[in-house]
Amino acid sequence: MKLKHTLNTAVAGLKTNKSRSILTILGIVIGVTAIILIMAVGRGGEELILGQIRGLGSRTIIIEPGREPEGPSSFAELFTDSLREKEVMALKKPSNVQGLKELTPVVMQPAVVARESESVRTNVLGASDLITKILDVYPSEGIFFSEEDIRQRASVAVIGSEIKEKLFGPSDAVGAQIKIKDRTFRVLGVLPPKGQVSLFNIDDLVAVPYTTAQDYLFGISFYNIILAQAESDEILSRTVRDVEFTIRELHNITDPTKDDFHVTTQADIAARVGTVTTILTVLLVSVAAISLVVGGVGIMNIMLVSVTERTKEIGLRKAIGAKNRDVMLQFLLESVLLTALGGIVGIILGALFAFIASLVLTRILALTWVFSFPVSAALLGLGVSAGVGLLFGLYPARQAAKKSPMEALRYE
Amino acid sequence: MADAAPLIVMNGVEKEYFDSDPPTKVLHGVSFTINSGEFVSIMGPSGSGKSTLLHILGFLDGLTKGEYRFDDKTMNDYTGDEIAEVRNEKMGFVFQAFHLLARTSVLENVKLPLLYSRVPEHTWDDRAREVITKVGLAHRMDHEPSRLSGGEKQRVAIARALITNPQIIFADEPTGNLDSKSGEMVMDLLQKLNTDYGHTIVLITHETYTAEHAERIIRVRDGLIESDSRVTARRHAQEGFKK
Repeated sequence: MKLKHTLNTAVAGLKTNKSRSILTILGIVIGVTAIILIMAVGRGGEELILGQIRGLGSRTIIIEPGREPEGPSSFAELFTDSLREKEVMALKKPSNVQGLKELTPVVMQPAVVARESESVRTNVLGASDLITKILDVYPSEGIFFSEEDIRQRASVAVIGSEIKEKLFGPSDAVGAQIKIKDRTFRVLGVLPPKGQVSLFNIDDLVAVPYTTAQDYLFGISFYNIILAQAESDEILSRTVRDVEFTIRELHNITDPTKDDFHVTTQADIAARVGTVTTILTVLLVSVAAISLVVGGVGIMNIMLVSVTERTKEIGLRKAIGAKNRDVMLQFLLESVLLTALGGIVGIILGALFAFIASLVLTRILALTWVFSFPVSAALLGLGVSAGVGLLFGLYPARQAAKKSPMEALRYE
Repeated sequence: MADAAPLIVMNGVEKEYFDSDPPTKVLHGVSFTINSGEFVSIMGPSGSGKSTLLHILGFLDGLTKGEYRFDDKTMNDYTGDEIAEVRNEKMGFVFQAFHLLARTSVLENVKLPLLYSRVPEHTWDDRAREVITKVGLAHRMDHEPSRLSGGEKQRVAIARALITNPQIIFADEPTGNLDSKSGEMVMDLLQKLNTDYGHTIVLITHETYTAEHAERIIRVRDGLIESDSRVTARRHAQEGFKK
């Protein structure tokens, strides 16, 4: 029997029981819809987060003291003091590190910041003026402190928008005085609201020259972080390697596993975010896939009922010359057609819901969400649903093919 | 006829069903031959084993002991696919309960065996129209079975049996569900197919009256052949028809 005729026969079989066919595929439709929706929204979410990360420039290099934390037990190593001025000096030499553009030491500690009767606990960030370039954040009011301020250990500060709001309210902050750890600072500028950028919440911090922070506020001679920027994306990995070699040489480290510092890039962070979202997506898709299995069992159930109901038809077909494989293929095609149809409807519904979700996110939550319809997910959904039909249709189809024509014709 | 091998040779055929407890033996050694072109009735009361006999003859069921040669080849030598091909190409079946596909036109019902055949597709419609005309239902071509009378349904079934131009037609109580007038028409058709077109016909029935439309009657009782004789006063459907 030609496949075309088997197909026609299968389609005719499904059409005779239209409403039952539709109800049967509902489980598959729901499963595929869920999978497409999750994959589309997951992809969109990943794009959103990665977009924010890339926004800070993928060329940013973060050098931290201590080995890369691998778990809670190595947490203490974060507080090592292996990064000091001599490391900064060495890194700044082009003969040591090629393609390093901006570089700033960073010290950071929580502290109480006060103005008159108002006080607020926030993070005090000690850095150089170059941090504005690295983070791409510039004061919206006033100015940032200068190289000169750093050299002089000046008591000047630039404050985040939330701190300004809490301490000054609507009144002008630039030129006013605040107290950090009971030491008086003059406010030079206010940063615009920008939320989290890289490691810092720009809105909730007070930036001061790192020299001032080290000597007058924290009483430390080391740095918490050295932030730097490579000249270009192409040179990034080489710059990172140069940074590692330079510090290793300075610290007389020959075995890289014994590093007392570690270097991460924005690309590393992006990759980590990508991993997390992928794991989440896989997890959610697996949960949704369970509904496909449930749908498949439903298909099998209905196909078994159908085979029993149509025993006489099967008997007749065999009596007039249908081979076992003709009957088997007919019923197998029926279940595969059913589930593939369910898959197509599910893909359309899933894409529709994902589109609605993207509309809600952009219009109502004002996120820069991009609706993305993963073609790979659609193909996967179609393939899996057809596969479910094949898998769960196999047993009923075999039952049909095995029927003896004589018994099937006698069946009442 | 004497020099050609008989179409059907049954030799000591036994059939036992093992799915009941104790196993039931339905045929106790049955032997006969049927030549090409014969019209034979197999007659017996219910439970005599005549239906089982037809199922074996029609390759719808296997046998327990003995030999059945169809078309000069032992049944055991046919593979599963060959059995399906023989049923498709060389045999035609007419059942008491018609077994037409519902919600499917007369034309499509008649074409059904061609789906499983090697007959070129472009000839299907012509062949179907030809046999439907032969059974006198040209005006019912596009009707669905639910709109046909019992006699018409059985004639559609006969057309379906004829479509592959089989050597033999097995008719299992073809008039069992019909009133006498429709039954006469069906018997007339079967006789015509035998005399005018040379189809071999094996008719299963429990009625002597129906059986006497054949030229030979094999009587079966309790799984054995009681008698095998030629019909002396053969009935012709047209006579009953005219009455």
